[in-house]
Amino acid sequence: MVRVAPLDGKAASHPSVRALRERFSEGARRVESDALGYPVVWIDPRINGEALRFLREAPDQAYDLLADLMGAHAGIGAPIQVWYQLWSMAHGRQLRIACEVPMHDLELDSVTDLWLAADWLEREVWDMYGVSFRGHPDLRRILMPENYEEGFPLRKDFPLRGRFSRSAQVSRALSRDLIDIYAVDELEMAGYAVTDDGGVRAPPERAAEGGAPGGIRDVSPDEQPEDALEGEPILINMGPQHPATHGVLRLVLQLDGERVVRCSPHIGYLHTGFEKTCEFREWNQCVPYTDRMDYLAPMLYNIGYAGAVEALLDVEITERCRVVRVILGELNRILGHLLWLGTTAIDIGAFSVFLYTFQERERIYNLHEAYTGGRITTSVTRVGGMMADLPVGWTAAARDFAATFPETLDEVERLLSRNAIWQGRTMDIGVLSADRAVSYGVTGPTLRASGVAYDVRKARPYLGYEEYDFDVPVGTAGDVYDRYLVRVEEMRQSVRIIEQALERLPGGPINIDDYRIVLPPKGEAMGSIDTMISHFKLVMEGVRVPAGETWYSIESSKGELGFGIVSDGGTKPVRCRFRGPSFINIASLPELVRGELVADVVAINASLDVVLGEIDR
Amino acid sequence: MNPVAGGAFALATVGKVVLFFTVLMLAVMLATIFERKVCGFMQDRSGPNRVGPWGLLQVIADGIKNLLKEETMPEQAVRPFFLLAPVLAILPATILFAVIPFASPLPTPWGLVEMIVADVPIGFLYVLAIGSIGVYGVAMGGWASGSKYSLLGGLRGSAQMVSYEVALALSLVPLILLTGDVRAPEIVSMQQTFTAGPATYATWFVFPLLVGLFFFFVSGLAETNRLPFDLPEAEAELITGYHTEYSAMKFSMFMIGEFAHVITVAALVTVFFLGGWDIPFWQGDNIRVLSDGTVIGEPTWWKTLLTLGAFGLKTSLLVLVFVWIRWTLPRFRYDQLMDLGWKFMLEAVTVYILVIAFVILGIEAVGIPAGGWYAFVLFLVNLALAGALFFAMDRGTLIRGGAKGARSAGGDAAQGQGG
Repeated sequence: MVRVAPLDGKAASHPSVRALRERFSEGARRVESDALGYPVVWIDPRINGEALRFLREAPDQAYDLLADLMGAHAGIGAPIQVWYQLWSMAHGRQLRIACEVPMHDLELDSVTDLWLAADWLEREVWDMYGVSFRGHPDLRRILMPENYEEGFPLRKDFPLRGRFSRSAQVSRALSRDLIDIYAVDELEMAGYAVTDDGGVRAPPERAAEGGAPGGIRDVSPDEQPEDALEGEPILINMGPQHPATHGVLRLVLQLDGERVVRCSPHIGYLHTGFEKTCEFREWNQCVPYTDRMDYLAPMLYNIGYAGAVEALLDVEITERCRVVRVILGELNRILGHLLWLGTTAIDIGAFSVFLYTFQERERIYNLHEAYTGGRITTSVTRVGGMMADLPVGWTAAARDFAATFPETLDEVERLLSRNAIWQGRTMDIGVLSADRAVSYGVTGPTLRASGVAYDVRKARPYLGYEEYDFDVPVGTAGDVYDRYLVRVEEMRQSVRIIEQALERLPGGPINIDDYRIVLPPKGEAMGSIDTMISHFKLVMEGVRVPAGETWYSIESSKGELGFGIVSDGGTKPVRCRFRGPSFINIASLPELVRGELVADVVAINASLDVVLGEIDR
Repeated sequence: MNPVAGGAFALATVGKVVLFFTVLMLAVMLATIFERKVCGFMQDRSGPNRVGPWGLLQVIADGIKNLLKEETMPEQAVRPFFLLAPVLAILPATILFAVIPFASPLPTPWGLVEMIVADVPIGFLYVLAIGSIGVYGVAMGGWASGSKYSLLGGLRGSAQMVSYEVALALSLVPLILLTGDVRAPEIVSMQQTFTAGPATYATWFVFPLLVGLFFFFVSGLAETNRLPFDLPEAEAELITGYHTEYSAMKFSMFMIGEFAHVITVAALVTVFFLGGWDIPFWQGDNIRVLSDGTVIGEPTWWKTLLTLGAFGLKTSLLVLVFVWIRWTLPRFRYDQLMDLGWKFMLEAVTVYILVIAFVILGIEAVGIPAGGWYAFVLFLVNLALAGALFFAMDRGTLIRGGAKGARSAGGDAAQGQGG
């Protein structure tokens, strides 16, 4: 099913591939080259822990960033594939390790001790495919409800609809059984003991009341820090409805006074199964799903998705399309950063900044509207090009924006950068060291604020980014203040890129002229029988993408946005994995907020710049 | 003309109470629309503009809405205290107004009516005493709501208000040192120029007590729970804190209480530091009623109106400053706020009191009589102190972020932007 591309020189000569083959001759038997030419090493699932430890720890390998860990399922009866997408900061190398886990023995070694990022990623694979990871500290569902019992949604034997028993869900929701209502860690925080078979034992003081399940109030006292005053910590829910969680994120906080003892993020409230839905849509029909994930910078998702599919198709988009995508992408980076800036300022109490940034966002939205007709959900790309060419006058409007926007940025910086309260609220708060950040898989401005100059636009340039002159701002302290500075500077750099792109914007067609991929113009379709057949096939069936797989990533406003896509040669994807950077970044939150105050939780959570659409997907 | 006495006094007092409660409530209404308009202007938007001309009737619409909305009563709430809290929030702010002189005395056929509801001999000690009651509204509302967020808000609020109460009271001590009197009308007179009667300073106390004004204003800001001191409410953290669970008119009363508090603090600053109802550069309004009933100056009804206007103008400008600050600054964090209150303000005010006391001792030893020169010397001292104070309060020295210390405190802001 999967296209075994001939192993070209580039992939075969990859040093890690050679090293793996030497070391695990039998275990790393299959090496492929994916659609982008990167090597894929298929290893024996029994040695995955050992092989990955070698790749992580051997000095000449040093794959310190686990960019993605995803599952894929080719079809009913087929084994579950698990991909580890690795990147080495030191050597600037990319490598994918893949395992085929047979259905009768769905077990792999956990790599949580190698990369902190693996914690949530492995939970997701468990949640979606039922692959269990030996040695994972806390393997439980992450996107689906904790007590979901209907199976593993992304397996091919799980239908798109018809499986879900609403009455069973409702009766479980109404149940008085604690394990059905609360997450295991909440129960533990509240002093309840959860046994392996799902039974709940009340803490002693509750047991005296007959162990009746009431609201969760009591907390075991052994969680208190040493300097705590006498008294018991309180447990509060921040979210899912809370103004500062920027969406339906729920943080269960255990507080000692106002100091956070423990934080447990709960996600999945917005889980709509985009990845599953995409498996039932044609390639172009998936585009509208992508912009609903990061609705704060929708075009970046559109562009990334289209790029990934084009990589599988192995087509070269037109120069005009590339430049237009760069312009739109950078505009959307500004759009995302502006929202971040405004909402972070409002979280820290500077209300007016929010209004200033929203006025600028409004101007970008007007550009969206002029081009696509939509303001938030743009769906601007198509496989092989764009939904249309730029309208007349659009570039002038964009140029006007690029020229005047920095003034607002200056104004905001005057209000905040040297403000004593702002500095006091952000400096030395939520400090994430470079090592920890990389281990958590944190990417984007948050990683760069910690001092790691990793930007996909520079590391693996796409859309011709290597031809533009721009800097990657890097912080030193890795605190909230540096994240602020980095994002503000990135907006200025984006303006630079937009100006250069508008300068070089060539004429010519925006779409490729392959009518097997893009719709031919109506007039031509009506005039020629060949074109009409193409038109008909495209409308009725959709684009056919050759069998193969790719993991294509771009730099979104929030971090590395990866698309893990598998095609079997049909008109619909077999697997459409969206590696939302927010999903990985937010996993570092519990560590960042430990020991800080409630007010800092708000500031730190804001500084990570998460969007729940792409966390929950 | 003698001040009114007996039945006429009682009648005049009742009249003043009714009149000024009404005026205060109207002022609160105007303050809400004022705040929204100013904030709209600052944020480059229109603000309310649908109801009435320039949206002026928006407050009426809001009032009607709040009256007609459903009153919610959380199941977990402790009913009596839950109901009492909004009352306690609004009460101190309104009765504080009783000791504020807002215009020159009004001559009437029955005698001279002083334009102050109650000229109590304990003067601003009453202000401090009543002002402290405000904390009960916040603490009680937060606790009785039965919500954890409200509780946190209430706790923050009570700690904050008690802390800044101290600095607020101490910041007025230099004023007592200077005036030797705590009655508000007397403090106003002390800032005016008189040829007869006891000596005065002939200048607004903003000059000789500049630093005192700063301390009083900051503490006042903290007392009103407004940005940057709005931690008990902290929308982003505590979802409006102690009044999260309140709805409709009960919520409205907290808001009215807050705005009334703002107006009261502005009025107090006006009286203590900006000459009260005194009109600058004009000696005709200098009217003084001595404690034995002697009246210096010539009170007339139009002077009363003019001075009332001056008082209103000064107070409004101060309210504008409150609004301006609110829409400009970010919010402190709770521990920073407490540090500022206990570890800086308290010490600084105490030092300030000592300095002023010694300077006054020195001036009197030199033999400068109370008056312009006396005030001028103090003004110079204050300028020097203000310089030192603002230097001490500069970035990175006073408010610190976390304790993890990834960066040395402040100063390396520019390093964040590498190439």
